Amino acid sequence: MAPNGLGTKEFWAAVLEGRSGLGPVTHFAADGFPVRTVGEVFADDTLPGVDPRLAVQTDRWSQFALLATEEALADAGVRPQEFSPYDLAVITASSSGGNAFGQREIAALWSKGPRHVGPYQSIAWFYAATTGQLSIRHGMKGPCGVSVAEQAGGLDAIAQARRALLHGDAALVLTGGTEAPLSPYALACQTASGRLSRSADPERAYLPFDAAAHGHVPGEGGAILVLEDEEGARARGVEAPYGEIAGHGATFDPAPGTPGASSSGALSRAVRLALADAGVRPEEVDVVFADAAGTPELDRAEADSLSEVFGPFGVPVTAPKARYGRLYAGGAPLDVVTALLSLQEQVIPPTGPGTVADAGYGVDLVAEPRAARLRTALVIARGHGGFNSALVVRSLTQ
Amino acid sequence: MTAAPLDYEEFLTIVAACTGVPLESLRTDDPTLTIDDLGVDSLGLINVLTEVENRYDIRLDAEGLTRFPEICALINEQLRPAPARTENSVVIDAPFDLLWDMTNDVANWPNLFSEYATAEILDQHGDTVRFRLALHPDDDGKVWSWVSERVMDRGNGTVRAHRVETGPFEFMDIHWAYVQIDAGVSMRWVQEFRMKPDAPLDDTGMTHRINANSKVQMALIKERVEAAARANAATAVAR
Repeated sequence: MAPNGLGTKEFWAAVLEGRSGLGPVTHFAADGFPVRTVGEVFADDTLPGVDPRLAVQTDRWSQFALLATEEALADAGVRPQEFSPYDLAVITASSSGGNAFGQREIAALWSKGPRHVGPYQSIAWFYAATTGQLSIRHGMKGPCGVSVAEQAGGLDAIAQARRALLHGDAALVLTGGTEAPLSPYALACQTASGRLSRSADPERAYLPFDAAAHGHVPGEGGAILVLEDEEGARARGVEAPYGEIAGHGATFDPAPGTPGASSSGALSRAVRLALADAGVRPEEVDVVFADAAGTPELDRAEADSLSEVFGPFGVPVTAPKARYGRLYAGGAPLDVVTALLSLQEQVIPPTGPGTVADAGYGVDLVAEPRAARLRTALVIARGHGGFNSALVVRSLTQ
Repeated sequence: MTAAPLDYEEFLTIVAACTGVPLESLRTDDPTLTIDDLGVDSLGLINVLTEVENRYDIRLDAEGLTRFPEICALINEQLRPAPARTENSVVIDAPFDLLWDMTNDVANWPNLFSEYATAEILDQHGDTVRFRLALHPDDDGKVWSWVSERVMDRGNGTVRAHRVETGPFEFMDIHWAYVQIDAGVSMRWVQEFRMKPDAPLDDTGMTHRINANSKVQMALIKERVEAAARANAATAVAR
């Protein structure tokens, strides 16, 4: 569920084409906010296709996941009722929970009083709500949880899903993450990071690794994936899995200004941990899906990490999110989807027209679709507040 | 005529908005279907109830109710206005016992009140009397008649009565209180009632009528009891 494409097929087409999903805020009058450009999936408050019984009790962010899950289960040919409920797990990521829902209820609390806070507030706003709704809807009673680590949480959730499979705690996990961060309260919270782009020009608002980078564009949506162990998947007749989650590493930044603190050190370590977990050497990585924060300092840190691990210009780097925004908990799962589709289609999607990498970064930024022999991809996600996460995705076909 | 304050269709509109269950599914002809059957969980029900409570500023206890028509009926019960109430009093300069005896001698009421044509005692045991009253024919020649039961408590100086055959009333409860004061005995009549929807008068109309008539009857009773008191005093002096 991305601002530039709904559904896996349309999203992939948009990403290859470099089609933009960015534009002005239409959800509400955002005049007072230092944000002019965002990535909206739907202009409407209520998402089409969501059962109205669920719509009344869920935030937009959960509704993205409900819709994405329908497609994911259908695509995977999974009928949950054919499994033992305890073999099915749900592990998603959320960076900020049910913002719009919570804001509405808090507004009712302070304008009208506590009796005007609806009962669904108790289940709709908090981070685990999406996992809970998916669990209830699809009868998934295995290990369930939520990962909260801003943009990095999306990778951490998938890593946790992988652990559940490796430990034998589940046979199949719904994982990934979504985010609906474009409501007034959600945007107000993000302004504190100082990382939002103030540009009103969708073509120039988010330019990661570009000399003109000046922040990111927030977007909504995300991705839900079906993860299972290979043996189980083959046993139920899966012939063409998208690929495997081969390794993961996560670290936390040292406090700024502390001795030995370097902006790239912790990230480099997360990348190395992920490669080691996957058992791949840096030169075996065919493409990197960058975090692409879009601010000079953070772009520099990520570029330094990539140079440290892969050498300057040592690996093709792409950031398709430049065309649809940073989706926080939804962003990295979408990158994982893009990485898997790249492995399948043997083509690296572009960062998009308009972005020209500053040569000083030493990054081989992919600006046009690039055909390549792709077997292993690295996805990087950094979360505001110090989270670093790296995930290795590998093709299962030789 | 008082219609239900919240008609069922409007109630279902609230339910649909609060639960997301489509209106068409809620408009079932099957009276056995429960809230659960219609796909509404406990939080959904709370959402409906608080919405109604906030809209009408009422409190609902729907514990144990399992079907929407029952809940709608509960809401409408809560939404009904409070019963009508009248209160009138008079101070009568006469001995307490005389006033008590004369005003509680129901068989003699046609001679005490101007409004009653007949008073027929149907049953009397102890302090409880059941009786039928009939008014003088009204302008249309109709004779209004009803049965009441009256329980007298001489010790506390109070009387409770209610209509057994309620006629145009949904109910009528009467409370009389006698209190000795310096100027005599204060006699207070409090009546609480609700008219039936098809009654010729509504609650407000009946309230006006009772207030007007009570003043007339109380003045008459005061005059007659005080006259009797004076006659008794004269007799006592003559002896």
